Amino acid sequence: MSISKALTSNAAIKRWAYNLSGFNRYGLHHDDVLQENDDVKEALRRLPAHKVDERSFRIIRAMQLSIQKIELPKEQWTKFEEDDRYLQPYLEEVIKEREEKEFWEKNYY
Amino acid sequence: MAMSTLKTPVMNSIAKRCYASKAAALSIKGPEVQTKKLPNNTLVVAVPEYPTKIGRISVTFLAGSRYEDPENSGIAHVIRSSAGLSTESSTNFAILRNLGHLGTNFYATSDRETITYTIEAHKDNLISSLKYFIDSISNQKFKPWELSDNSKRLQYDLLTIPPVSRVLDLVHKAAYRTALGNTIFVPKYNIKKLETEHLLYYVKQNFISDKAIISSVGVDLETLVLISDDLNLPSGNSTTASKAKYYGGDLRKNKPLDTTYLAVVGEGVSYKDSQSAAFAVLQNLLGKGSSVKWGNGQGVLEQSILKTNTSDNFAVSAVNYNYSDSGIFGFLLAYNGKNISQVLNAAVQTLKSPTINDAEVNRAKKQLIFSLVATSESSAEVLENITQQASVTGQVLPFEKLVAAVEAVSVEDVKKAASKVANSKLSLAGYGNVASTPYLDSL
Repeated sequence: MSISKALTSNAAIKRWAYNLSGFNRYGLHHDDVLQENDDVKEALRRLPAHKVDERSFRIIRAMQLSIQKIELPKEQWTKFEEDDRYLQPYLEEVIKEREEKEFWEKNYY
Repeated sequence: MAMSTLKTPVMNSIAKRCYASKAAALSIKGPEVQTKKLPNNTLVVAVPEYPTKIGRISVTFLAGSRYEDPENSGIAHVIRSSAGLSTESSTNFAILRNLGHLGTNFYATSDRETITYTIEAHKDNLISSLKYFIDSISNQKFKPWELSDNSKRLQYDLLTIPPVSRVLDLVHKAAYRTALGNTIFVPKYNIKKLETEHLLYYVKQNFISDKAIISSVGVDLETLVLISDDLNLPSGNSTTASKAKYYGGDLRKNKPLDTTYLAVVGEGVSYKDSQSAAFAVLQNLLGKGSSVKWGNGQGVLEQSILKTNTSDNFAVSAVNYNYSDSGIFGFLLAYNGKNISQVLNAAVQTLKSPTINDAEVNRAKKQLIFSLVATSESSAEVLENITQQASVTGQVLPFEKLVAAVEAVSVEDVKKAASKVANSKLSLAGYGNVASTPYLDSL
């Protein structure tokens, strides 16, 4: 447990894993490639409009690159440090709200 | 608005007069009212000894539509409608479910002067409900997505406003233009425009301890002091409300309705004014509709219209609005027919020179006292009454003093009130089928 914790909290290892995952080569951010489940959909609905637009642009650009079977030039890859995880605060709130509802349904009905 | 009140200097003389003629005064003992001004300037009003199992608490802010600017017109309505949305520490869902689970009622009301949050619960459950109540008053967040989800409710609100409320709103606009003339309904174009930032700014400016009133029925004063501590309101500088000035004017809105709704008012008096009891009597003298089912109203207004032998349907009621620094007095007329000018002329003539004699004044006083006593017998209405008194005059008079004030009104007082209205410039507002409604200058 402590070893895995040490590994996952190490910034260098995190960066290595991040670069290995590959989506950054298309200029995507971590939160652009989340599974779009109901929580994410709700979080996206709450996201300010300009952030949604930026996300859509990155996704469309990535699809275009993928169709052409090319990558962005290396200097345009998303860097680990620049990935802002813009959706997380909203997503956390959505999940908390959902869990609260589930708790009520389980305990009071 | 039957509960118009008087301020102390006048009260003293009136009270003396009444106690002198005790036989005439009804032996009415209203519930005891306790008031206290807290160090943070919040006014606390409690009626602790009331025979009820339900505790009711209101938190009121002087933040109604008269405090709005032209740019944020309707913001008080939006804030009222947003009551119970997620706060810093509880979600919308949690507030609704927890209060519902405790069998608590929570609602928000607003008018030209105030926004009021009220909670009602069985006394056993009241304390546990307070957490959510306090949270949703002083920790509001107005999350953007919740506001946009709420806009449907606002639109529904607007669609269900009865024409009578619309015409009364319009007549305030005609009479005052700004301040008290601000509409209490959010204009459609502002529903989407008023966003989180606007609401937070308005709340920051107006939900401050100087402008707060905490009132209760069935809950003691100490609890209210604790609530004030928990609310922990900021003590900002209360922006002085622009003083309401009566102008008078003519406004009408044509709507595809069969009925014509008209409101005609002149300048009345404020709550604090020594004449406010006389105005309340005058309102009952002119008539507030029938108090007997299917009967014709006994009011002077209705009788005068009946004398024109109109064969069309109409309904008429005197209106009397008293605010903290001004008031309007007049009547509301709904008419379904062709010859509106005949009916309107008769009503305006009566408003300008009503028949005021002993018999009519006594009838009006009896009706007014009945409504006061009836108010004192319902704890919800007692709460509303003390809250309103506290918000417009800064003090609360017990019911026996209100009744005494009404008892003391003489025929001369009522005549003076009527002549004040007659001598002011009238305002007219029309809503619905107003095509053939005459203008004020042609009456």
